[in-house]
Amino acid sequence: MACTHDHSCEDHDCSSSWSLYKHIDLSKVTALNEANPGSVKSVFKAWEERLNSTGEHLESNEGDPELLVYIPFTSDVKIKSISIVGGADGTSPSKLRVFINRDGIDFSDAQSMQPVQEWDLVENLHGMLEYQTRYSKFQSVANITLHFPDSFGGDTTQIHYIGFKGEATQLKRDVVATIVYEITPNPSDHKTRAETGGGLSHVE
Amino acid sequence: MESTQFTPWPYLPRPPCESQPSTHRSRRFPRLIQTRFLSKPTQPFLSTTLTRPQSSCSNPIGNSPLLRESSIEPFYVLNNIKTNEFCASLTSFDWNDVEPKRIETSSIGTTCTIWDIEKSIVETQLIAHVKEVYDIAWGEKRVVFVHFRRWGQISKSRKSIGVLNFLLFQAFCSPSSVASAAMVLEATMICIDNSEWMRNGDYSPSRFQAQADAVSLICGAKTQSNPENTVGILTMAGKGVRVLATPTSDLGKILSCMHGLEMGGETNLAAGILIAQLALKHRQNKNQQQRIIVFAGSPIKHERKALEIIGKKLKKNSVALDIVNFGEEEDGKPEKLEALLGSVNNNDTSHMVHVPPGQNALSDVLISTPVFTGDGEGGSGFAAAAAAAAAAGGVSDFDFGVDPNIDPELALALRVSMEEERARQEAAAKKAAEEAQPQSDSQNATSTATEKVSDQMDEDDLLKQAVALSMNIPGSDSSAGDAQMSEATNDDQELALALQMSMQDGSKDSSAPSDVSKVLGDQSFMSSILSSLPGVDPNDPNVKDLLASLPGQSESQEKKDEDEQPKDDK
Repeated sequence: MACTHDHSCEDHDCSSSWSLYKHIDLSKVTALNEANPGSVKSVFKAWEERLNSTGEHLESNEGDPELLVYIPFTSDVKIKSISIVGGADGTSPSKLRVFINRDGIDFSDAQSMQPVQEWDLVENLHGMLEYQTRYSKFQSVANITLHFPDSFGGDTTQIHYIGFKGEATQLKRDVVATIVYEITPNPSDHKTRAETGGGLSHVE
Repeated sequence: MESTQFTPWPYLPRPPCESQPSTHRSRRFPRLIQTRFLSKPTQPFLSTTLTRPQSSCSNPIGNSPLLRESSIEPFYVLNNIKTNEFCASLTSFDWNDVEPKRIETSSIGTTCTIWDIEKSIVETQLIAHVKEVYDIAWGEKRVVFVHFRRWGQISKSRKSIGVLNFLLFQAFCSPSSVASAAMVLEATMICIDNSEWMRNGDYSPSRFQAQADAVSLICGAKTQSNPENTVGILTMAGKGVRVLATPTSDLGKILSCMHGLEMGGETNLAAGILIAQLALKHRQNKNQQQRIIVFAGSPIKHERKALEIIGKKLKKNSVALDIVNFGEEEDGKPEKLEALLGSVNNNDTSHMVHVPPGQNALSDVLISTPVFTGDGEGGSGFAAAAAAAAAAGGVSDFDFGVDPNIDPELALALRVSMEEERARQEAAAKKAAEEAQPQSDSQNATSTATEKVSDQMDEDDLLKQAVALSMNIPGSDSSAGDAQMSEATNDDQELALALQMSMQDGSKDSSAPSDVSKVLGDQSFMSSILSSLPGVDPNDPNVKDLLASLPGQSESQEKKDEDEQPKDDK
């Protein structure tokens, strides 16, 4: 489902609603089948700059328009809609399939799994189109994986901007990762000062 | 004036191994616990002692007592001051997490010291402060540490630290030391070629063994560069592609599954790579980069096109590929592998190494390649240290495979045996020209052998071997004898002089035979020698005893003499 803005964007401040890019954990964003490693990070920017493609953009490898983008957020977010700006000359992606809260998806997984939602995209060179989500399914998104299986006939797929509209909660869905376990606890390592006789040990 | 009352600092830094078992395991010092560390207020502190429980004292200097109840024994006493057993009070101490052999101490003597506890030496001292240094710590990246000193005392009663003066010291590693680790988190699958082609012996000892050694080295390097790295193994030939170990960081499991591998069948390279990719896909830690290392030792039966498709698939899933091209060299194999590498390579993360057959072991050649050293950022410490050792050895191919700094005795022994071998070859060349060595020389040599005292045992043996060789006696022995004989001929002038002098003494030392009996070898050889001596009567009871005690000792003595020979020659 695509909808266009029915107002002039200069009056209504659209960009504030497209501010979920601030909650993206950019260091952990990865993409598969990108031609330049790391170029995926350049597509997350403020809404005003979505057409500003003087910088890098995300491009797939030559001859293979499939792309897979993994985006973790710094906190759980609710996503209302997604906007994609593709490239010209048929290099825009034609379909979008998303997966929620699964990491480590690769192409074979993406092709075989049932996505949470999928859209048929149109060539959206000005970024005016947004694709609404089934909001109930996008209520606590810790990470999202976008799979672009094909383009509009071009050799590669180019993406200049990916935007998310929604709101961020402050919750974090986090694996407990910083526990220190002792394999064999050694009581002598845990002596309190009282047991050792208070502070100054004797050198003998 | 600073009061002499010290408050014990609340923080004793733990050695890296104990507190973070999941992320950092220091393999070399598994149970180091630091013991006495506080300073006495009125008296300079006794030298710092680090102790290791349950291990033997390997380097005790000084008179620190044993604490029997907890079975802790002093392991090192590190003392920097040569004139005095005591030093200025130490205020703090820290382990270097990344290099456990490095510690640093700070003292009220305004200096900080960095120690290398393996060698029990001071690496360096920092004298930048003018007042007491109170704390010192290693920073995250191990090249930075911070120490502060007390700036001033605001009031006597409060003893608060007014201003902290932090000094950061950068780049403490000297160029020759281990390069800082890139610490790439990686899951690796190693594809081993165990086909029939690996029986060939053009790599010593056999292709398969060379490959197995290289695999163990790679596993060690990967797990050492980052403790969370995982390595898995699969074989490509045999009845089919078989995964021996899925990616794991347990080195023992990996090495044990290398045991008992059988050779046979033909390699299926494509299937091997695809299954390796599948194994990597199911790795437990999805944050790890994926890498496949392939040992391509047998001819490749796949088409170039098929390999390119595989390469593209790997690239698409961002799997890096390292190819070790060794073993069989057939037409088209390098091109096929190049094509594969080209289709996989993404930003130079994949590499290919050609190892031609020859002197150098497969693993030695691989150590200096990106397979070990990682993607150009400096790589693992293991690899860098090994490469540095190779460079320090002076020769481009690993001369002895041993760093003289790490193991001087072994390096020395290897060098001596190398010289002996070289000398032996010279001797073999000289042998043809030595047909007509005069009898008198040989007799002098032998008489010296019988008459010299036992602490000249090695020379005796050497001379005896020289005699045997020159007289072409079949009973004398092997290359060892040859080597020693040639050493004798090389020792020349002084020896000849000694021979003649001892000839002039002429006496037959009766205590000598019992000593010499340990030295001399073959019985038939001995009797023939003795019969040719000017003053020795073969029927002498001493000589007969000597001959009777000879058999059975020659073998063990040879080895012992060879061991003594390098020490003697030092």
